Amino acid sequence: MARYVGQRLLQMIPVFFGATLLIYALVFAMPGDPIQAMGGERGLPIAMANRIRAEYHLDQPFFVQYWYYIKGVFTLDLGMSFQRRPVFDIIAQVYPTTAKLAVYALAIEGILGVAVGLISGIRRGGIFDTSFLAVSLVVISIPTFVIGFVLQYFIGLKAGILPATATGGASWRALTLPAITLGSVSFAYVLRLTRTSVIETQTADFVRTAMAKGVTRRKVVTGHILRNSLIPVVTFLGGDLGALMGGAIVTEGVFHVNGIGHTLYRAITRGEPTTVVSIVTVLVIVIMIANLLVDLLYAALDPRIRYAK
Amino acid sequence: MPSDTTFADKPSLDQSHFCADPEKTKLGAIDELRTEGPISSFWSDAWRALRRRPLFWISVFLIAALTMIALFPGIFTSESPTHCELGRSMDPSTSGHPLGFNRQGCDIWARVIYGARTSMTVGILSALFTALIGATVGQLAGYFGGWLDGILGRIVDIFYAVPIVLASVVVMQVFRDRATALSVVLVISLFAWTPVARVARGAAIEAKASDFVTASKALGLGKYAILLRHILPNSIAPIIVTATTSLGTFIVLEATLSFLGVGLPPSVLSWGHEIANAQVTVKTHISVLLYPAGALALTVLAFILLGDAVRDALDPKSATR
Amino acid sequence: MSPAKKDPLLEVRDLWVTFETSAGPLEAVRGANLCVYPGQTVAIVGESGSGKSTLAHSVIGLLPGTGKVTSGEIIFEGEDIAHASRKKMVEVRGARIGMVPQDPMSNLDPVWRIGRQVREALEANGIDPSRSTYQHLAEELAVHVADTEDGRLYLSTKGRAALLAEVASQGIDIEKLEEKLIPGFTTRMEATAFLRQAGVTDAENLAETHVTGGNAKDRVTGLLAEAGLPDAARRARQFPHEFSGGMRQRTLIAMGLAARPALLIADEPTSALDVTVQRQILDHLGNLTKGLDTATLLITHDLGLAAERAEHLVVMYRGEVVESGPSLTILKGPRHPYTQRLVAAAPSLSSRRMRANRITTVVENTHDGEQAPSSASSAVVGVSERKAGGGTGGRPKDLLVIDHLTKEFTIRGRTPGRKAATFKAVDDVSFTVPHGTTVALVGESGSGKSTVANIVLRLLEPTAGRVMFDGGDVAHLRGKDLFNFRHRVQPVFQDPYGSLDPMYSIYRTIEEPLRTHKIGTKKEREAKVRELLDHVALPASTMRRFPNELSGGQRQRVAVARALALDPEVVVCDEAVSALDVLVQAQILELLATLQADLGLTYLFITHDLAVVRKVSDWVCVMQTGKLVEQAATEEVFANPKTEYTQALLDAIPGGSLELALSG
Repeated sequence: MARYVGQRLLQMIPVFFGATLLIYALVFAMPGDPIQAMGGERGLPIAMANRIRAEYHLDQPFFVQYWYYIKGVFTLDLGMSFQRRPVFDIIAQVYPTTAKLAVYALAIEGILGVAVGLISGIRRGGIFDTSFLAVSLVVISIPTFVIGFVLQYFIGLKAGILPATATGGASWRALTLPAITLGSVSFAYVLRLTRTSVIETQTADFVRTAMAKGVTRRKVVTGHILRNSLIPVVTFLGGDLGALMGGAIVTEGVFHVNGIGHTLYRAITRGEPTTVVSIVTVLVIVIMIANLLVDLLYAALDPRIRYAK
Repeated sequence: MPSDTTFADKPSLDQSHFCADPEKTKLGAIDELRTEGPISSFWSDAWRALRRRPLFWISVFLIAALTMIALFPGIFTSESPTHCELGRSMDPSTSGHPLGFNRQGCDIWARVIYGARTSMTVGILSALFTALIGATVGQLAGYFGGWLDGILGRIVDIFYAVPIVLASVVVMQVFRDRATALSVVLVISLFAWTPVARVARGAAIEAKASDFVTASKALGLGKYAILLRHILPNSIAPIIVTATTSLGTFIVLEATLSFLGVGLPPSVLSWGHEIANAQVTVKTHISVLLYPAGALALTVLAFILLGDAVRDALDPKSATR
Repeated sequence: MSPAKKDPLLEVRDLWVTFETSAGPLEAVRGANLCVYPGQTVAIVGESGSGKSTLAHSVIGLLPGTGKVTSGEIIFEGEDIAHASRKKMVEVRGARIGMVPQDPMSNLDPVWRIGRQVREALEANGIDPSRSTYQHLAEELAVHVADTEDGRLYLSTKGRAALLAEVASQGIDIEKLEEKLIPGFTTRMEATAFLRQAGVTDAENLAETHVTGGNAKDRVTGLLAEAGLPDAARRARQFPHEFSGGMRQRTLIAMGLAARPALLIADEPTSALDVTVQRQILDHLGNLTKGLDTATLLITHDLGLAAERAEHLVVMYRGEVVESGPSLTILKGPRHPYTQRLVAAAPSLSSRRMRANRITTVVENTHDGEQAPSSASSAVVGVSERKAGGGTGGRPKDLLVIDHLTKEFTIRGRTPGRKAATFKAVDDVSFTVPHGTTVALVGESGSGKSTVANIVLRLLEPTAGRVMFDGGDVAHLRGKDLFNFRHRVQPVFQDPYGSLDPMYSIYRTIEEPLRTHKIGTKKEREAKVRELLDHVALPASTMRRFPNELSGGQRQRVAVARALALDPEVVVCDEAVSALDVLVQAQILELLATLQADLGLTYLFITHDLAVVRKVSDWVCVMQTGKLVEQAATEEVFANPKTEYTQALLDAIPGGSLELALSG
């Protein structure tokens, strides 16, 4: 097990540098001069602009800039935003909200998706299965932001059951609609994946053997089928965290959640490369750590991985 | 051996020697060959499985219709989508304008019709390009293994760690107002090829280990010839399935980017823009938002149904029904 | 035992089982009848698709997919269970009818520890793990111990430790006792007997104090030990992937017998295992069921194995029972044409080298041609004395010389930096293959036989030693020479499903070698493909078909045709018939013999199955863990094996022991 964890950690190193370099390269390939843009219509005095450029190392060659940036990441000094606030503080301020939203969404898609998928798989072809299969198709087909608007309109505004926006603070209640929206598409995928997986596991030889031992159907489902079916689902959920972070940009916009997605989106449209790079880096690190956790969970579920050479 | 055999109908309970009447249980030839019936190659079998599925035909019909709309929008509406009069802002439907007008006073039906082209182009081309990139990388990595697999594997990991929406939002900045459908396709293809690569790699590894590849090696077929003549043909099916299934998500991604204002410029018609513009009036006129959203969902649904049908036909093991 | 006096334990009456398929209903079992008496072993014999497994699964109520009993009765312990409720079936399964399934690799849940899976069988059937319900061992001990209810309590792990400590304090060597006293398996009665045997004073009292009943964990250990798993307590904590096939099969046996069912269904319980392991496990299973007086319904494709293990045989063909009766009666006087065919084809029961009718003349002609003086002077190293393959002339030329061949594989180091370990798959192997003969390379999995084949085919490079083909070192071949070598040495592989590209039509498959070697025009190639199909007795209409339309045997014919397309001199058959049903196997072997006679082919025949070897080969090389342990002419090997290992392999041939009975 220790060997497995070590191996995974080692693998993370090239991925970390590769991913940050990729982001850095992408952002600094952006056209336009952000320093000039800061000054608005009139632009900044040349001396001042140069001073700022030097401060952000923007006058240095690309790899030197990248070096300063990596150094910053490791010393938790993510530099200053153009509004002269430390980027680290900005992230620290908005991150909890997004983390809360992501966990909420993940719980919805994970728990509901697996539960519905399991029942669908076992009662394959029944009314429950057919209707949820149809629901999953519809949900996958509709873009997240449309689902957001529809929920906001019908449940938030018309019915008034839940808050339509999270402007009043990120309470669990206020985050319910955003979380449902954020988790909806993945819920559908988790459902379909669990269902397929359950159907496949049901015909596995070891399931028949368990039945032959005289174990009741219910125990076979909870003991053997569910756990074995979860293995591919966990893999999917790991990869899905990235999609959730992407989805947060849209969802936080629709529901006015003051989270990291929203902050990132503003930074992008305003053309603040330092902030963009920093936020995306933090997200990538979070995704990588989450993937590591998922791999460990995966190993816990599947002993073949745990003891692999 | 008893020669005066009479045949009983069934064995007796005392377990004495029983033999069924050979007249009633005639022997067939050993290992009989059946050569009647249509030839069943992998692809003809898949096609036979596919055409039996009603959902396949529904999706084909929808996609055919959408393709027609995308190619010849003029047939479906005489109104110009860019002919907007603020005077008709938010007017309800009238004859010739079945869905009414949006806030700018443009005909919603016309804008929905003309928006199809963007979605279809982006979806189909992105699926094609991701399949090409992913298949190449995956097949090479899986077939040659070793250090090449190691390097390509890390590259896949890197792209996997960067969420596609984030990455495309960032990269689309490069294009800004000069963005076209093609630039969206390029950006999507750049980031979305990894799932195909994984599938193509797995398929290559599986095919590589099979005896028919060893047999070809033993008869002197070259490395690259084996890759092209045996490995690739045996990997095509899962590659097609992955590409088809993800086609719908590419359409959604384009709409999302345009909705965020970082996709196509406002001058290019996209359902994403229509939905973004309808946001402002969503509280009073949600239908203005629902029309383009419905068109978008229908298009995506058509491709997802197609993907499901194709997967069930090409990979009978994973049949979900 | 006279079965007629008792009521049958299981009686299947006119059973019909139907599967719904997209092509309409498929009747897998058609009006089958059979009965099993308590304690009796009955074998159902049939080839794949005969309905034997379906019949067995319907008895335990676990028909897969759309399978349904459409009519007939399954009377078990006096009750019809063919139409019993789900609840009733859950009660019957495990407790009254146990099952040992076919494939040990897929029948254990990969995510559960072994112990938990065995325990599940106890818990599901409400078995009291503290005491035994059977007493069978004490009788064999020949030590008088009273059979009381408390005497059946099991020894626990704790009790064992305490007991051994007490014995040691008496100054008695506990080494022997340690082996005999197994927690969850040894009862108080048995412990008393063991203690007495060891000369322990006060054995009865000691046993009473310390043998007070095991818990579920102890019982799991006991069950695994009972099934012949060594070091059961530690093994119980492991996962299936840490087990070998034989160990997994023992686990499955432990689970099947955990609740002491009256009937055990053993569905090809050892087909996936090596022959020697197969024999051990079948012996063990036989002893266990005998000791427990459990009736066994043995499902197998192997007539020899069935006859050896069961008192009563049921032969199934295309869903019907075509013959049934006492094993030896059927073997000696099969009445149904199908059974007659089976008996004739069973490789384990036949004893002579199969030869095509034309062989003598053809082989002689070949030999005349080959006996040019030059062949004697060809580079031959380390050849052992031997008789000629089949002809009467002098020794034919050695076409292949395998000379001190060694192949090492590196196993990736456990810790980076440490020197990588090497594993010798082939260790200093030398033998020769004379022209026009068949040399068999026999061994179990892991013996390195396939590695030798791959080196001969130049798909692998040897670490040391060399393979000489027609005087040249195979490993030195490059470019055009290698290409020409490919022309002359061709393989046929084991798996009929994997050896043909599913995307290629049969025509394209057979044409591929011709096209690769740029032989002939398109028209000539087509003519050649027709000719090749004719050689392997397939109609020309097969050409446009695809592999998925053919049976295993037919695919193997196509694979042979592909191998012959380049008119090779040597064909390496790597387990080429192992996956086939016996009748089909016999057919393919016959085909290979005919081709050898007609075309003067030389075969290197890789197999694990000594019974097949006897039918086809002139010379046998036996390999064990990389080393060549014995080589001799086939009859010699069978008549007097020189090594224990070869003897063990011979003993393991199912049905081998029946030959005496039959010839008598």
